[in-house]
Amino acid sequence: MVNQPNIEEIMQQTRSYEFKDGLRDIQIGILILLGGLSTWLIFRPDLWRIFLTLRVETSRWVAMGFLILVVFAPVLVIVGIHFLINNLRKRWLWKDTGIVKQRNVIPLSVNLFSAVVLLLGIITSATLFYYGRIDEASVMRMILVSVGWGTGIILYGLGRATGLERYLWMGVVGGIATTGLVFTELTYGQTALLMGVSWGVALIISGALILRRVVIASRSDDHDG
Amino acid sequence: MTDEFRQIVNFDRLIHEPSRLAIMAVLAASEGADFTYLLNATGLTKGNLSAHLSKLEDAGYINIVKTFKGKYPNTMCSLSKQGRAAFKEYRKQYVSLAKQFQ
Repeated sequence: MVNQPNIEEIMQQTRSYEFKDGLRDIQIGILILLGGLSTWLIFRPDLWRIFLTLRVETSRWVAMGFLILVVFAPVLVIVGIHFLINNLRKRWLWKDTGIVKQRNVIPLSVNLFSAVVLLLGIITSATLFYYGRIDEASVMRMILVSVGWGTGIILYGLGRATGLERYLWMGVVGGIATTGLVFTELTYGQTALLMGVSWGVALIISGALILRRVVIASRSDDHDG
Repeated sequence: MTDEFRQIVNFDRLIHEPSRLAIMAVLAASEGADFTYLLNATGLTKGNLSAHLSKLEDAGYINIVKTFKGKYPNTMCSLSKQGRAAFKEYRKQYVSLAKQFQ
C-alpha cells in the first residue's frame, strides 16, 4: 500500500518557509516601530516648527521634501530591508534549501475580520464622542487600540496559516495588552509611539532570536558538511 | 457503481501519485518554488523529480522557467491556472471521500 503524503502539512511547511529565519519578523517590526515614530513626530510641534523654518528660510520644495522624508522614511527603510533580505537569502540562508516565492499567507477572511474590527473601533469611538461620552484624545486612543486588535488578529491568522506558535502568542498577548491603552491619559502621538515601540520591539526581538538560532544551525551544518 | 467508487475512479491520477501530489501541494501553497526546494521538500532524487516535473508540465499543470543565478542554472516551477484548478478539484474530492470513510 502506498502512503499518500500529508497535503496540509506540506502546504503549511511551504507557507511557513518565508517566516522561519526570522527576517520577516525583523522587517515588520521595524516597519511598525518607524510607523509609530513617524506618527508621534507628526503630532509634535517641533516637527512643524522645523517645517515652517525651512519654508521661510529656504524654499517651499525643501520644506515639503523634509515632510515627505519624515512620512515616507519608514517605507524607504522597508524597501531597503526587503532587498537586503532577498540578497541574504539568495547568497546564504536559502542557498542550500531552495527558493520559494511567497503567496498571500493570511486568509482573506482573517484580513476582512481585522478590517471589520478596525471599522467597529472607529464607529464606536465616533458614536461615543458624538454623544459626549468621551473626549477627542479618547477617540484617537480607541482608534489606535482597534489598530492594535487588528494587528493581533492578523498575527494570529499568520500563526494559524503557518503553524508558527510565536505569531499566535504575539497576536493574542499583543491584542489583549493593547486594550490597556484605552485607560491611559496619553495623547494620540504618545499612544502611537508606545504601540509602535511595543509591537515593533516584540517582533524585532522574536526575529533576532530566531535568526540567531538559524545562523548557529547553518554554521554547524557547514562544519559538519 | 457506488458513489465512493465513482469518486475514486474519477480521481485525477496524474496528481494522485504521491510524489506528484507532494510537488503540487508545495506549488499550490506558493507562487513558485525552485528545483532545490522541491528536492528537499519531497525527498526525491534529482532524476525522479525531473521526471515528475516533466509529466506535470506536459499535462499543462505547471510552468517551468530555466534561468541562471550567476554561473549556476536555476529551475523555477509554478502552478499554471489549469494546475491550480485541478489541484483544488482534487483536494475537494479527497476531503469529501475522506469524510465518507470516517
